[in-house]
Amino acid sequence: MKKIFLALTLLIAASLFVGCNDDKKSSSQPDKVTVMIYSEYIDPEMLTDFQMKTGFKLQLELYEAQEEMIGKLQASGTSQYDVIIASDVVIQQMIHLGLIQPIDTNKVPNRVNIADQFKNPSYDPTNSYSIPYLWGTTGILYRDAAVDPLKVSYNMLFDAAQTKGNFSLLEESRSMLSMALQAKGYDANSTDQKQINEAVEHILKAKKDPHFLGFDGSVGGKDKVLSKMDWAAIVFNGEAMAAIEEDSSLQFAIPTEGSFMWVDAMLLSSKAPNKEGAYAFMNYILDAKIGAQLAKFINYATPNKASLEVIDEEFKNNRVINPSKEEIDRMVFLKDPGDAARLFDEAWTIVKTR
Amino acid sequence: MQTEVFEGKLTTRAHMRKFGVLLTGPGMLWLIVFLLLPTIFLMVLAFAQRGSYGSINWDFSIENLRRLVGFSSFGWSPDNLLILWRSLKIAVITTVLCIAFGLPMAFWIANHGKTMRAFLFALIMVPSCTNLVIRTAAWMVLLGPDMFPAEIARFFGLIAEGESLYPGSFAVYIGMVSSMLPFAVLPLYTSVERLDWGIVEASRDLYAGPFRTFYHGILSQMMPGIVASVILTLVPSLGMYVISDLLGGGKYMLIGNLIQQQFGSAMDWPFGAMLGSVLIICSVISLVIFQKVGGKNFV
Repeated sequence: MKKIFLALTLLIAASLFVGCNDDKKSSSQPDKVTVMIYSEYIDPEMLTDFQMKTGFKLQLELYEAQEEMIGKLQASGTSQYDVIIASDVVIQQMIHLGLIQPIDTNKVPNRVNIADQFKNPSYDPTNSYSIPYLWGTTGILYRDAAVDPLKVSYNMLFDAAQTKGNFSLLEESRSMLSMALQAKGYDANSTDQKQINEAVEHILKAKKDPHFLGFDGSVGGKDKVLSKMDWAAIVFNGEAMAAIEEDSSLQFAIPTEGSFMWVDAMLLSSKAPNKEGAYAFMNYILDAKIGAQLAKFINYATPNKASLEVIDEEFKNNRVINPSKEEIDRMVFLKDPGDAARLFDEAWTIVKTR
Repeated sequence: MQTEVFEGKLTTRAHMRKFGVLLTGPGMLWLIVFLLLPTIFLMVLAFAQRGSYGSINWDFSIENLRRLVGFSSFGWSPDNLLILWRSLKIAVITTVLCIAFGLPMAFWIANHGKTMRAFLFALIMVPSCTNLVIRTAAWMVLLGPDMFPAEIARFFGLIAEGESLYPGSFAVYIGMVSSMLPFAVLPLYTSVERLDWGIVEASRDLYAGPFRTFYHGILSQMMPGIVASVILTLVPSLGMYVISDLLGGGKYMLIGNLIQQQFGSAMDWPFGAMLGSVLIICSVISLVIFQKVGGKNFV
């Protein structure tokens, strides 16, 4: 038995040692900025350009899903990262979990470039934790020249009399339920049990439609519309843009009942080892030219109004990437549901079971 | 001190015990660190609660268990149990299909010469070296509307013009069986190799028909192999959800999806832990029952 304990102690000691080692490595090099970011979400040219302009070496830590990112931060600590790029829906949660700290906005002078609709947003009412990186929206991608994208309603998918071909719904509990809430005429952020129940019934009705093909992620839905398996699907606008570039007979619409927009924002890690570098990175991204370059490379809209002035007309006037003022007015931000998370989760379980 | 003889050497009990601990130590340590401790943690976590922002509240209650059996915010609804039932159904059907296809395959392989056997084994094993998602995506292409399987089905009037063979339960079972089959064939093959054909001859000598010969002479000898392959296919298929998501269109949730959702988007680890624990307990119980029943009737 003694040997087992000895081995156990050794094992624990070894793991502690590994942990310490990692911490030292990141704090002994203050000339480096570590950014936690979705994979393929930055123009690789910016890595060298950023170092030339600011003197800081840019190191990217990639992640694929929000939960993975939060899990990583909770497990390995926030002292390994300076800037975290995350979507608006998780910002409140990250504040409450103590993963991020307020930004000293005076250190980011290019902040004046941020477009008005991203000032004092619901996900960060005091404007003190986040700086927008890119933004996008969700709508319906469909193959039908006869339907005017300005007059598309959710009934295109939810009303069996109006579906003209196979369709997929979005495999994302919160987003899909919010869209169903909007289709029923309710607030996308509603946490009213009766309204959510109606949204569930609404999706279940669509599920019974013989044209219903299943739930897909944004990329899956796009692929199915492109391969003509689907006539319509719910996708993000960046994906819709890529699809339309491949096949110009496709169209993209923000439904008349409204939709939601999301922002990927830059956040300051609560134990950022290199705060100056983090501010330099935020300021760099908010530069007019860099913002334009980023938006064009990733194919999503920029929250930077100065970038819109230097970006080419074709990209700027692209209705899919940069929705009209009218369409933006119909969009809302999704709020963190807090304790109502369970309500949404249980609603989604019902949607996926019946 | 009492001396004993072990493998032709004189030794004492204490010495043997020490030697045994040394030999089993690494294995035990592995089991304790990577199986026992995490399982205990999971089962304790199952009785905690979700905090407002996805953290864990260590207030112990049986709320998660109540929720699992159907007491939700929308009143009583049996969704979680339905999900468990659906997962069990798919796993059992997959297992039965795997055994049904695996048995003739095992006999067929065993009937070949040495080199041919190695080649056939390679054919079975090599596909499982590729990633499950890639293999499933390959089925999505194969079963698509423009490929020959869909055209053959269309020729026989099974599907309408322009339709494809997936998403649907047919595609789900093709994906499930093709990915689980190797795990069913291997144990079956080993028991085919060890068959005592004398019993088969004796049964024929005593005028038993082909079915009785198969049942009493072959199947009963193969029971340990069948039990092993049932375990190897049933348990992984219970937790499998990638295939039903990709080939079934994700219309229905399986227990794997539900657990993943709790640890993922819902950020409700305690409820996920409860679901996971119940799944572990269910599979252990069913395995014990299965082994007892299988053991009594045949061996």
